[in-house]
Amino acid sequence: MSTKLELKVNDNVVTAERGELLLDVLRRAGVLVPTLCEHPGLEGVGSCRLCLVEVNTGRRSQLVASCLYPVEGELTVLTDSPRVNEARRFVLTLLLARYSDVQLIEELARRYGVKPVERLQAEPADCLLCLRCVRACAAQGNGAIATCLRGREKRVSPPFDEPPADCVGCGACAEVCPLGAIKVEEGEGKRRIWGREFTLVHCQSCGEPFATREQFDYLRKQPPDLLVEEELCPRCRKLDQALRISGSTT
Amino acid sequence: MKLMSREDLYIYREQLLAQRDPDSKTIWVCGGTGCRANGSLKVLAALRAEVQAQGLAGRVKLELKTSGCHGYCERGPIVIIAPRNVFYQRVRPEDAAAIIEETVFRDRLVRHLLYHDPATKTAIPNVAGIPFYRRQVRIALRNNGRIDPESCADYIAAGGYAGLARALFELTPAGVIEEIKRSGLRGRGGGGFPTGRKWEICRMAAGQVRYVIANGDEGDPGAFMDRSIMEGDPHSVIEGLAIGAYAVGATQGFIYVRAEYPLAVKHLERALEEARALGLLGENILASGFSFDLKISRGGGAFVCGESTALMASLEGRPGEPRAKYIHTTEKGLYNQPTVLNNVETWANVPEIIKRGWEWYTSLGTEQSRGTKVFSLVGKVKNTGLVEVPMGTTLREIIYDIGGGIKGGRQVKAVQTGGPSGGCIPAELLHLPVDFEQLAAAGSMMGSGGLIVMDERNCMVDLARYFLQFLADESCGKCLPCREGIPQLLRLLTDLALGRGQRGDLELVESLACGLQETALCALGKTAANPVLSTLRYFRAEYEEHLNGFCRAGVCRGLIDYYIDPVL
Repeated sequence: MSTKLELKVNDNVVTAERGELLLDVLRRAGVLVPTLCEHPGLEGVGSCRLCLVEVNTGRRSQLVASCLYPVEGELTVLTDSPRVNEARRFVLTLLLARYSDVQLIEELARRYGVKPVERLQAEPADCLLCLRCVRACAAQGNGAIATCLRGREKRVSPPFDEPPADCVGCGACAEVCPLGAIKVEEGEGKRRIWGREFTLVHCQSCGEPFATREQFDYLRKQPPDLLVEEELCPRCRKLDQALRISGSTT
Repeated sequence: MKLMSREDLYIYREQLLAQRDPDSKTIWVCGGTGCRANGSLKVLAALRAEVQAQGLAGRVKLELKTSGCHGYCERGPIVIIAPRNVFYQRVRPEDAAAIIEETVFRDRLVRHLLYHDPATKTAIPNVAGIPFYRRQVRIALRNNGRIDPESCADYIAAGGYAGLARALFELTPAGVIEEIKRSGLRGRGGGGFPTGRKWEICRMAAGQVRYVIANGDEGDPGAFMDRSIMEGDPHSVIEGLAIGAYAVGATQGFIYVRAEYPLAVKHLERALEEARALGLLGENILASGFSFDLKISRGGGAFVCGESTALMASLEGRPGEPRAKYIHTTEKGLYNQPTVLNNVETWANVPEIIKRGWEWYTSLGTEQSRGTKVFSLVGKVKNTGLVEVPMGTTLREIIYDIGGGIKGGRQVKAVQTGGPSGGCIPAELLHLPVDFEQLAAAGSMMGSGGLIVMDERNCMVDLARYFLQFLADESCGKCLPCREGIPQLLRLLTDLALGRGQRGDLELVESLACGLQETALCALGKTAANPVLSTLRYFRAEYEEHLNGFCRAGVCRGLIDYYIDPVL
């Protein structure tokens, strides 16, 4: 079975690998698809529903979350059809009702011509529940945070809302948050996140803090034995390597 | 004792039947949850004490047994005396003496305990004569009320495990799938997907191992079909699973039961033990070379775990949240392996189809929807309970002929089928037959079988609001449309009910409902707006009245003004 497939995307022909995610195919073809929960380094969840596009397999036409939809056969894809736009506007209307003062949402709403509906305005929220943080933490191997409760009460939290035992203070959760909703404080050689305090490790070369002691402790426990004794920040490590290479060639 | 061959099973059954004394009487006390709640266990204790007190133990051949749910919960506690199948209803412990003295000892009827036909006012002496049962055809409920659910011997005597034996010794796995495909059996959990095809896809899918799962996470308000089957005839589900496992090539299966069904769990556990002891589960079943075992997993009280992918996540120990089904669970399900998940009622049908053959099954039901369907008939009907009818039976027949019509002589206004994912069918459409396609075309769905009957005292806006409240509480919150859309709809409908509706609200409700249908991640979210959309479709005038501050049913309290009449 050939692994190359031809898709018809908005009247253009686009090639794809069998099993490839539709969103990746669309992006490669230069088609703009709005996303919120999607992150290139993380496995998709399809929770924000902004990346919905219309696919027709020949048997039926349906809206699918392109961030999760694997291309398995010939397809016709519409990314700007009335049905897709209607769905996008609905999602953005719901988003505007809770995140009206979030710049990212405002920009998306403006792009698709969505205005706030007065009747739907509800208590402002500061987390999209895109779960990038939870996924990033799991991808790091820690899984220190997850969601609790359900429906509108659902929120991201460490187990039992206590300072998370499995957290190493790497800050990946805050890094990937599209709204900057996760608070990280640094000062006096410490990093505070999720109600826990971590000891910052300073680069032995430049002196800048770049990781936590707990991160290194965690790494040392991981098989196979990672080379973690050199406590250089990524920048200085590269410099160090470059110097060694140039030293060895000259 | 372990049964080591098909012949062993056959001989065991013959022995069981031979041991039965034709002169012996059996008092069956319903031990279903409904009758228990009405005090049936006290009735049982009173009967037992009375046998002792009257010194009958030795003089009359008598057995006292408990059965599963009969379905006629409205009339519980129910006591049946075999072999004549005398039907006593609403029995109290005080009636024990009369039952023992008159019916058991002297073979006479106790008049006041008999069911009286409301139309003719005559007493009906036995089960067969009661209108509630007369129109029913019981396949999934074939043994309910007729066997002791805690006795595998009872199940075998009633023909149990003969289907499994036929599958193992007469049919190839592909042959079993062919039988199920030809029977036309479709998923009884609501979706109506052809069961045989589901099994075939799973069988063909690439995987290390395969799993079969029974979905017993019945969560629709007012629905208790699956509970009654698990409580009243647990072996039928186990046998169905074993046959399915043989067909798809699974050696491990799971029964996912909601934790709120403790009696179902107890009976299933007991049934598993007995089946293992008899060699009907475990290694090398009936020495056929086929091995299969089951585990029971209890749900944690989340409605959404009735959704297949959420159920599997929960089984794996992860939060019960659905995932996109672009890759079907038949290909990548539990632990990413090919998995067949069917509803409890579907599994309960399987042994009977295999035992009696697909031709027999196709003689029941309609062209597209074969067989029978169990409904829990609740609401304003006279005879609430569990009913099983051939597909194609009209709603009117179910409500009037079986349900006995509406209480207080009032009129049917609408019927809600399919629970929170289903819709409302107005009285004008009661001629509709129950069939997957016909109900869907009317804007509702078969669903798992909840059938809530409403009269003019029910408010349609309030009904839609009720289901939205239920779903707002049960939404897992994973995807935005469901998490935010349902509470928005709920608020708009609550405002309507409180007289705070505004111009344009109905249009807004409609557009939100349609948006939700289009964009939600799982079936729960996609169908969440069905109660709203179907009531808007058939009862729009009532919504408009609410907008103008009037609730014709007198249900929405915010719209009622109280005043004191000075004349009185």
